[in-house]
Amino acid sequence: MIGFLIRRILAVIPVLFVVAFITFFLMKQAKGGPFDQEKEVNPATVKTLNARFGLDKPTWINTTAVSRASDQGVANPLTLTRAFLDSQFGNYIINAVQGDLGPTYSSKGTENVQDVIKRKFPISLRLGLLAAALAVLVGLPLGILGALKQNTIFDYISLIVATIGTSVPTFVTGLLLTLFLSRVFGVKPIKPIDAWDGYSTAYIAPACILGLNTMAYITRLTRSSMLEVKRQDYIRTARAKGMGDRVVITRHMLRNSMIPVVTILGPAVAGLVTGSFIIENIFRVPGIGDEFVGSIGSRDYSMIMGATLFFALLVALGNLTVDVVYGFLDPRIRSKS
Amino acid sequence: MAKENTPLLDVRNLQVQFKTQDGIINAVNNVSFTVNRGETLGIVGESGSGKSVTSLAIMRLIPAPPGKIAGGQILFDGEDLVDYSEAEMRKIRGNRISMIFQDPMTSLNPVLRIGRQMTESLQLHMNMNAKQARDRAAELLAMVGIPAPDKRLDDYPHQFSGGMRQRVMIAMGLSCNPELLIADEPTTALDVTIQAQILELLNRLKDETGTAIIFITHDLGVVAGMTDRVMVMYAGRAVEQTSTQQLYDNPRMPYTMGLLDSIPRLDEGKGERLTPIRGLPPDMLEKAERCPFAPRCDFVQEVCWTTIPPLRSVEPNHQAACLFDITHEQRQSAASKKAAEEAAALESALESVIAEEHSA
Repeated sequence: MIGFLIRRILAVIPVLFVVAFITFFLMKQAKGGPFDQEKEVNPATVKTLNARFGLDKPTWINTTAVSRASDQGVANPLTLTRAFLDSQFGNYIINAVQGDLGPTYSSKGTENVQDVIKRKFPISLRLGLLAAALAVLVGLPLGILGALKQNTIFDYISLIVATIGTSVPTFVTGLLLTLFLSRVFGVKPIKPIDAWDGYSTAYIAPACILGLNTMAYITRLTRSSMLEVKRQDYIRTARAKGMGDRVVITRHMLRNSMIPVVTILGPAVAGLVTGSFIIENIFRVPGIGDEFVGSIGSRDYSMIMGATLFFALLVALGNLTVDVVYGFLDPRIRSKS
Repeated sequence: MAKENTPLLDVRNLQVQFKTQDGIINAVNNVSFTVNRGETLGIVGESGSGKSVTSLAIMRLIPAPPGKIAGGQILFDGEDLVDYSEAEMRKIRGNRISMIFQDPMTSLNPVLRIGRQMTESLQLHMNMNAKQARDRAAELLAMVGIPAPDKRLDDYPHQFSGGMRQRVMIAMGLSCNPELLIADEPTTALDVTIQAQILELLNRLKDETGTAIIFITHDLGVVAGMTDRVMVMYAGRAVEQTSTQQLYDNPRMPYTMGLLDSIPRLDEGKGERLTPIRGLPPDMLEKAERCPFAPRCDFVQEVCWTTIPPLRSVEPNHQAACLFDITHEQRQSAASKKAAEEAAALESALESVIAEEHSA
């Protein structure tokens, strides 16, 4: 198990590198730069800014630095390699490995990407985890009910809820909920900026909307998975042993039918905790999703890179968790790993 | 509670129906049979003949909907199980009547340890605590010939071979000392050497525990070594019922004869041809008032197409559902006559070819 974990964690490193490479490449392909304004900017200013953020360096590799160094008689291979990698991408990776994701351009270099993540991610994390919990706590029972009471009113209710959850976009459900809360209950669903520190009730409304889609997906997945398991021979065996419905469902069916649900939960939770641009804007949540989306428009290179890598890391960790949980659910998988 | 004079199980006019999109299928039609204490009854028939459905009906495990017990009585120890509530039935299942299924690879829960799967019925029916149940489970595993039983209790089903899993199923079936054990094709999914071991095990356990067994199979060879009496089923009906010995010595239903003639025998000469049953298995949706076997029967008469032959007594303790007194010799001589005719026809056809060649 420990060996398996170490192997899987090490495998995350090349994944992150490839993600960084592709993102960097695509980002550089996009027209425009971080210092573009509507009016023409003084070329001298741009030059200063580029130098300040290291954008005057070559994109991938720095051959001129190498030849200059060797002209100066430097022979130390380490120094030469460092000179070779004295490029935008090279410096980014070297700094990132040391935990420095670079200054954000939008803060004019006063705040680093890792500080933005540190400041805003806890809010998105709380919101996302609450959404995930709601999705599981509502989705699972709805799916189980749909499967056990197949083709009854319960099944249809579960189907309707799931269909709404998948097909109606969050900007519709979000606005409707806001309207509903304020008009019917007189609650202000939009909370002030300081309401998001720690655990507060402010999270409930946006979490409901954020988790809706995942909840719908879990409902349908649980239902079909339960129906599949219900037909299995070992369920008949359990009934033939005289086991009651409760034991058959909880002991014999649930664990077997959880495997596909757990599979989607890993990436789904990673997606939920990284925030949603739309929901953060509707409910004025100072989360990280807004930052992620906004950085692309403003060509905030370090923020784009930082956000993508952070998301990739979360997805990788989510999938790793899924693989570990698999082992607990299914002994056949455990013995193979 | 044992009533000496009544049979342990007395099934009367059992009727099981399945509702399908194409109409109602009568999977079990008016089937009656008894099982006495300590007795082994074999139920034989081809796929779809209703033998498994009969056994599931006794356990009241017919998936409903689409299936339902449409009529008849299932008297177990004098009480009609058809009238039992689900809760009452649960006290019978796994306790007084238990069941072993065909495919041991899929009949055990893959995510639960063998020990858990064995102890749950012990704790439920025998009111044992966890420790007692585990000790008894280990005892049971030893009884069915699984080495290191105490260790194997912590293993999962995938760590057992097919034959070993069927042993586990048998141990589970016998765990609460049932009065009746229903074995639904327990050896069909296993290879032949393992089959023999499992049959031997069942025979031994039958003698040791004295439990009555309903042994369901499509293999008449298996029946010979296992059962006291046999019921042959065809198209959801009982078509012949007698002692195992009688069935082999003097089968009286052409279908049974067909089955017997389809088995290769060691005491027959080499090159002897098997005589199969011609035609196709019955269409269960068909509702014609005729002998279900008529389209495949070698002795079919006009009247067979208009009457459903009832199960009638043909000799003491022997019932067959045939309107005529056809014997096995008749079928065999008819078959050999037919074979001879075919051979002669082939010969004459060849002769003319050879003659033609000679003249050319």
